[in-house]
Amino acid sequence: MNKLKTALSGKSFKYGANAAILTVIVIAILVFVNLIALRFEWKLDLTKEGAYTLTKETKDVLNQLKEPIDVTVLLPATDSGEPIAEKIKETLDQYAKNSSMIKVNYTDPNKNPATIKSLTDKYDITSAALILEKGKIGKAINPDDIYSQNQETGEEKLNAEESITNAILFLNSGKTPSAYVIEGHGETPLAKAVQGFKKDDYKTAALNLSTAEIPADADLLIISSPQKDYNASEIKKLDSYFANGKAMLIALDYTEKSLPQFDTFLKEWGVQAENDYVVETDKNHYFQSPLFNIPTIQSHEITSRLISNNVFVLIPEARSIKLLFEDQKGIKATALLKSSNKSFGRTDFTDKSLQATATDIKGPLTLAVAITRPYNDKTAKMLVLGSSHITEAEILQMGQWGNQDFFNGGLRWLTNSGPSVSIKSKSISGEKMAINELQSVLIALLVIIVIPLAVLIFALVVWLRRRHL
Amino acid sequence: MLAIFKREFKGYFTSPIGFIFVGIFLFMAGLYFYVGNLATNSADIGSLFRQLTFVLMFLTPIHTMRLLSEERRAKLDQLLLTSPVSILSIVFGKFLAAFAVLAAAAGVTVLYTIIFFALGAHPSFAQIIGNYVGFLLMAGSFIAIGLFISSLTVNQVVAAVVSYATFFFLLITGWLASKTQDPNTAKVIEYLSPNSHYRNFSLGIFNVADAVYYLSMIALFVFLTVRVIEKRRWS
Repeated sequence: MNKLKTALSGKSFKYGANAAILTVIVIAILVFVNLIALRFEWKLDLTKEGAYTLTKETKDVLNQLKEPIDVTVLLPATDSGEPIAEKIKETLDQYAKNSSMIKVNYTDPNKNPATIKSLTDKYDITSAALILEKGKIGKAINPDDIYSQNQETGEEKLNAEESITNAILFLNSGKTPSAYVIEGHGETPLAKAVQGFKKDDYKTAALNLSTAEIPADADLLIISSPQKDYNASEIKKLDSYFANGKAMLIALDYTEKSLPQFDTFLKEWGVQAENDYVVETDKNHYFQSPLFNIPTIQSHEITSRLISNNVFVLIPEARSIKLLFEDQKGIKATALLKSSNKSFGRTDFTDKSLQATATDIKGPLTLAVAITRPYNDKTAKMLVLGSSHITEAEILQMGQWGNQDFFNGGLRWLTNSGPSVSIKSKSISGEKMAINELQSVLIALLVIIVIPLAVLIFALVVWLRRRHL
Repeated sequence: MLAIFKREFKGYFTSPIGFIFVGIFLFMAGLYFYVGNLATNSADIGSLFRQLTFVLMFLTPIHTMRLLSEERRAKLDQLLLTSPVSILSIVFGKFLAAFAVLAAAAGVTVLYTIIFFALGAHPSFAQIIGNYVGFLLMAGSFIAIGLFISSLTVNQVVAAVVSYATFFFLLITGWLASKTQDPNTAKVIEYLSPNSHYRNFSLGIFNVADAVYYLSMIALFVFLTVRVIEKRRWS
C-alpha cells in the first residue's frame, strides 16, 4: 500500500500522467481536424479536361431532381487499386455531392454474389457497372457505356457522365417507348429485329399489319428486311400512323424480290432502295471481306458521338440507298454513312467478280439515311439502313466497332426518348509523347544508369576521402 | 532547430549513406519512368509516383533507422539533450533533414517532366504539382513514422526491421479493409492507411482531407518521438 502511495505521489507518476493527458489531447485534436477536413470535402480538380467536374448540363438535371435515385455500384467501396474503377467512383462522388437526391451504394460483387445475381436477373444483363433505380423503375448501365478503349490507338475514354445523366433523365421521364416489329412479309422475326435494343429501354412486340391496326401507343415501327410487297391498305395504315409525328426504322437487305408498292412508299420519303449489294474495293474501307463495309460517317445528331470518339461502324452485306433529294416539301433526308468512291453497287447477283462492270452503280454509295418529314405541326422521322445485320452479336462482340452506339443513337433520335444530353467523353489515357526508339533508349540510359551511377560515384568519392579521417 | 537541420543534412552527404539512398531511389525512379512512360509514350507522371510510393516503403526504413538510435548507441544523445535546444527542435530538425534528402532525390525527377514537355506532350501542370505535393506528403509521413521507431531503440537494425513491419502492416490495411464485412469499420481501417490517401493525388484531384491526414501523421509521430525522448528525462 505504501509502495502504491509513493508510486502515485512520485515524480515519475506526475510526469507520466501529464504526458499521457497531453498525448490524449494531441491525438484528440488531430482526430478532430481530420474529421472537419473530411466533413467539408474541399476538392480541387487538377486535370486538364476537368475529368472530375460535372458539366452544367448534368448539374441542371441534378438540380431538378425531386425524387431520390438509388445508384448501386458493383464495385467494392474501398480502394480497388484499379484506376478506372476509382475514376468512376470519383465521378459518382460528384453526383452525390451535387444532389442530395442521389444515393450511392457500393456492392462488392465478390462479397455479395446473391445480390449481384438478383440484379443481373432483374435487369437481364450479363455484366453491369451501375444500376440506377427510382422506385420501381430501374436502369442498368453497362461497363462499355462508361469506359471505352480505342483498339487502334489504345486511347481510353471515360463516358460515365453522359451515361449516368441520361439514365437519370430516363428514370425521371418515367415512360418507356413502345416499338412494334412488323411481320407478315417475310421480315426478320421479332427476337432478331430487336437484338440491338436494350431490354429495359423499350417495350417491344410483333405486329401483323394485314390483320391488326397500328396500336395508338406505338412510338416506333420497325420494318426489317421485307421479302414480300406490302398491299395498298397496309401502306395506308403506315401513312396514317405518321400523321401523329411518329417514327419508323427500316432495315433493308439486298434481295432479288421486287416490292413495287413498298418502293413507292419509300420514294415519297425521298429514298430509293437500289437492287444491288455494295462491294468495297478500298482496303481502308472494308474489314476482311469487300462485303464488310467500313463507311465514312457523315455528321448528324445520330453520329456525333461516333465522330467525337473517332469510332467506326461495320456494315455487312449492305444494300445501297439512293437519295432522291435532300430537301423537298419540308422532307429532309441526310446521308449518315457513305462508302468510298472506289466502291460499287453490284446489280448482277450472278457476277461474283470484284471488278465494277458497266451495269454496276458507281460509288460513293449511301448506306444509311435519316429523314424528317413534317405532318401538320408534328415531325415524323424515318431511319433507313442498308443492312439488317448491323447489330449481329458477332459484330458487337468484336468490341472495336461503334455499331451499338450508332444503333442507340438512331433509336434515341427516332423515339426522341425523353430528353437526353450529349456530353463529350473524357480522355483518360493522358498526354502522349512523340518519342522515337533511339530517344527512348538514350533517355532510359540517362535516367536508369547515368544519373544513379553519378550519385553512387559521389558516394564512393566521399567514402574514399573520409576513410582516413 | 536550423543548426540541427544543417548538421543532420550535411551528415547525410559526408557519409556515403545519403548518396546511396538517393542513388537507389533515382535508379528505381528511372526504371519505372522507362517502363511506365518511355516504353508507352505516356506523359502521365502519376503512374511513376504511384510506383514510387512502394519504393518509399522499402527505402524509408534504411533512411530513418539511424536518425535517433545511432546517437543513443554512441551516447551522444546526452550531449544533444543537455544542449540549449528544445527536444522538439532536435526532433523536427532531424525530421526536416531526412525529408530534405528525400525531397532532393524527388527533385531530380523534375527532369522527367521537362522531358515530357520537350517531347511535345502537354500534361496538366497543376496535376504534376499535385503529384509532387502528394508524394512529398506521403514521404513525410513515412519518415515521421520511421523517426518515431528509431527513437524507441538503440539498435539500428531493430529500428529498420520494426519500420518494415509497420510499413508492411500499413500496406495491407487496404486489403484488410476490403476483407472487412462491416462497411463503417472498413472505412475507418482504410482511412488509417497512408496508401488510400494517395488515390486522389494520383487521379489528379487535390483533396484537402488527404493533405490534412498526412500532415496529421507527421505531427503525431513527431510529437510521439518528442514524448519518447522526454520520457527518458524523468523515468
